[in-house]
Amino acid sequence: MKPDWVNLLIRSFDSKLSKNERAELENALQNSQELREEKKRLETMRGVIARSADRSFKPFFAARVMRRIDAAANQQEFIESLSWMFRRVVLAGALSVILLFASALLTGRASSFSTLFGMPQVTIEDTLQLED
Amino acid sequence: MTDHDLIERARDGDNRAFAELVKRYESQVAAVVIGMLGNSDYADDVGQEVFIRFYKALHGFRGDAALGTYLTRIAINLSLNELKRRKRRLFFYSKSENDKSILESKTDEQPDSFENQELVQQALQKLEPQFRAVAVLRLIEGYSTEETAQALKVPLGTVLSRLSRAQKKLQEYLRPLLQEAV
Repeated sequence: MKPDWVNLLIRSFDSKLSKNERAELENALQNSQELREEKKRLETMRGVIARSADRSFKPFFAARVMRRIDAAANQQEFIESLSWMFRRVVLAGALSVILLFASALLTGRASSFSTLFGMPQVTIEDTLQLED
Repeated sequence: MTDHDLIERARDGDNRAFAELVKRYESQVAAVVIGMLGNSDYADDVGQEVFIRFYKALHGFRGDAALGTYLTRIAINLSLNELKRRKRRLFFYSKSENDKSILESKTDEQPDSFENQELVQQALQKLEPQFRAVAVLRLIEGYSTEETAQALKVPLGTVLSRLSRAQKKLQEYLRPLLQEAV
């Protein structure tokens, strides 16, 4: 049995052979008992594989998927509410700073760090002097 | 109810409609994932991930491809990713968990069909992932060679040559089973 015949035979299951190839294969099948057996083996193998495929997950697969989707949705909800809160805190903080700054300007007081935040501004030199 | 109706309902937040879609396509996804990864907890996790990805993409799903084809594509890609991760893990552990599960699950009391299923699974797992993917799509899912090429994004010629090599290997691995059957 020629290896070319086997390749041709395998290809015949999955693609359209040309007219010449089809004639060659038919001729080979007529003359070779071995090739006919090979064809039968291939057909059997393809049948066995198709029939024996495992087509099921463990029981309650859909329920497990839905549980994971629910858990992911809850997590997403939690992250969204956390980010909603964070945005509001940041907004309120920024608004307070603007109000403080505006009030300092309107009341004519200096808009220094110490007036705005009620603490003295410390430079690196001050810190070094304190250490001495 | 058609897939399209169920997708519309799921988009509107009806989780029961989505669960129905999961049940409808579970076996198709299982055949691909278990064919690629063997019947293990990993396969179950990857199967779940396939549907979670679909759920997240529900609003963007235009239905250009049939839902089964769409899910099969996700399943094959996630399985190939899992095999890459597994290969990296095997670098650190000498024995594959897959080998272990095959040995552990074998008993003398199992019926013939189960034994055949196990033998086919073992044979598929021996193939290189790129050959296995072609064999699973063509021989198990029944895709045409053109559909297989599209799903794997490889040329048709590559699918045909991989399929040919995969079949020769499978014939070799399944020889005892085939001798009985012929």
